[in-house]
Amino acid sequence: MTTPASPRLKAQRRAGLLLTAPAIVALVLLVLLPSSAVIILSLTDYQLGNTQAAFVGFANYRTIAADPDFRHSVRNTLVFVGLVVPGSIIPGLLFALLIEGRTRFKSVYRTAFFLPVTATLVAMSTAWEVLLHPTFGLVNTLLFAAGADKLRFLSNPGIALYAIAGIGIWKQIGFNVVLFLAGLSTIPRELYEAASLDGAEGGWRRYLLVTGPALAPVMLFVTIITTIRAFSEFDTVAVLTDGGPVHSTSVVLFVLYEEAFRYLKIGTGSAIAVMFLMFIALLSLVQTRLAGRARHV
Amino acid sequence: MPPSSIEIDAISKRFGRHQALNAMSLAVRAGEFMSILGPSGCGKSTLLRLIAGLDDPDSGEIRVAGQPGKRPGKRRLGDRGVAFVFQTYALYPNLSGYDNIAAPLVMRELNGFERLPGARLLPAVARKRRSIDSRVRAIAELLQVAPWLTRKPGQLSGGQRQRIALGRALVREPSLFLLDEPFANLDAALRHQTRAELTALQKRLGTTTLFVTHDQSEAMAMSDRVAVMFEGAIRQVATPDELYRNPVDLDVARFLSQPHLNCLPAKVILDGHVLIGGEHVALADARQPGTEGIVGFRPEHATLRPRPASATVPGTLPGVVERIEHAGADVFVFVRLLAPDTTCTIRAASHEMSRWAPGTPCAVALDAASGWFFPRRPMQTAALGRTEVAAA
Repeated sequence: MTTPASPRLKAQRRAGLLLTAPAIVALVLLVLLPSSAVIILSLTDYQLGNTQAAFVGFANYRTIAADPDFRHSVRNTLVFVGLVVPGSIIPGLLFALLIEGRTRFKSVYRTAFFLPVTATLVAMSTAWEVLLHPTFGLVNTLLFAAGADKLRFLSNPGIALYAIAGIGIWKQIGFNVVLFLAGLSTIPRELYEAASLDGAEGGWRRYLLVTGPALAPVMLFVTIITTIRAFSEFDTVAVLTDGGPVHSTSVVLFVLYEEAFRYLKIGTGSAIAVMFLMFIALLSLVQTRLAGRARHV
Repeated sequence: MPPSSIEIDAISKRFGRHQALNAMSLAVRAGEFMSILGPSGCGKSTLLRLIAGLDDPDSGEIRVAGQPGKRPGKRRLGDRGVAFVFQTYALYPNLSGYDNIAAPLVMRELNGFERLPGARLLPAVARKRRSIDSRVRAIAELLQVAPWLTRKPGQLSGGQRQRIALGRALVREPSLFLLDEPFANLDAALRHQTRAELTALQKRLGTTTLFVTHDQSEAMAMSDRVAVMFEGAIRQVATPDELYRNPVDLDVARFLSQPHLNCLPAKVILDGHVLIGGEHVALADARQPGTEGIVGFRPEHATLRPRPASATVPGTLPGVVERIEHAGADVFVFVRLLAPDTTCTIRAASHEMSRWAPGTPCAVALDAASGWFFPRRPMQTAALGRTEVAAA
């Protein structure tokens, strides 16, 4: 059956294809091809510099799963995520609520909180190294002044991961504050006024009645972003501790980096990358599903 | 709660450089339906917000049921028996219609623990929930919103949302009911229907009601009394009929005579007689010979008479028909007066339309008992429209 609209429809399809072509090309070149390459490499024993590789099946995956260092890095990553996600979301929300409640210096606070997001992370990591320095670092000077013992933040295996997590929180909190502020600014003032007349004048009652529900979509987005970023932590570890001391700050992506580029074992590195990719994809899927449900209820 | 009276005593409120309310006073009787009528920006919404306690006046006092509204320390708005309906309705978007209506009861009668979903299992909480439920159902019945209780505001039409908002306001049986242009977002048919329903509801509940609007027909149709506001102050408080017959000044007359009020510069020559553009015209309202001012009259307060082309009819204003507008049962005839050189709008029955073709000479005969004379005050010169100033 032909309809008079069909040539127009065809033209529309062609235009659509044409318009999405640049994005499709970029997606294929930058995401799909490299990902496929990584998946293929993860099934070989390829080493960087070699001219040939042999197919080894799932041997790389089995090796990694049995590797105590990798398991340790998974544990470290989970601890890191467990600290950074609530540590940057809950105070981020509190700061946003406090800033939103102010009438003056709002933009100053907003800028101050957003700075870590825009700053170069390697440079910032170096600044943190200075701050946390065992002898002349500002943090230790303050600790000393307060009468506490100085701490070797980055070289004590019992503390280093928490120090890294602290820096991770610092990196993420400003981003979350700004997102929450944006969410808060969309809540109509009348809603708060209605709430105060309905007996929810402020505090927790008002939060539960108005602010919380209105922020739910932002909260979900922030949680997804923060979780993915926390799982992808690498640069602070690489710059400040190099995974040490004694693997205490070695996170999954750091192990991946070591396997692939320090020991040149591309096969095992790729296997880690594939597992990581699948995990993140699964996580995003679950979270967007939850998001979809929250929106439609 | 029994209906509250309100006494507003010389309150002022300033926002930056804008004086929203200027030492204004107003008394509302318990159980009364009063409209606050005025053009946008006259401070009527500010007044309502101050009464509700959403803002504090800079000076002056508001007493609701004899109690001063301004209290030192923390204000607990929810404890006052004041309900407010916002122009935008301000419904909680995440809650169903039912939960929106129940919100004021849940928030005031249940504590944080009792509001938890599982707390219903406790007999004491279940009892409270049942009591809330019966009141929500009763209000839903009254406002005929029962079919929409399960839906969220986003799934409701403007009229349905508006009813839910009314339900949320009425469910806790307020002693004072404040409405800020609640019909502004409804279409014309729904507005008329809701108008009648709200009036009937108010009569039934007897709650003191303050209704802010810029629509004079709305105010006239619904209110026991209307307070007309201009520039942050009350000009006149009167019953709709009194307001229609005896507006206190030109601004009020003009605002209540939309779309047309005829304004002609005039001078009192005798008690009961004015001089308009060289013609002696009888006007009962004219006092104090020698006073200059403005004669105002509505289109329905004058009649058109035929006039020979080059003559005048004593006691009437000569003119020529400029154009004519059909308005159903009536027509509005726009007459260009010979002196002063301005246009008057006169109402005539629509079957007379053929008599007043454009270009026809005619004479405007004022109804001496209904027109008004407003002596000129320096302030009013500024308030005059451009045509009248030019004509004067």
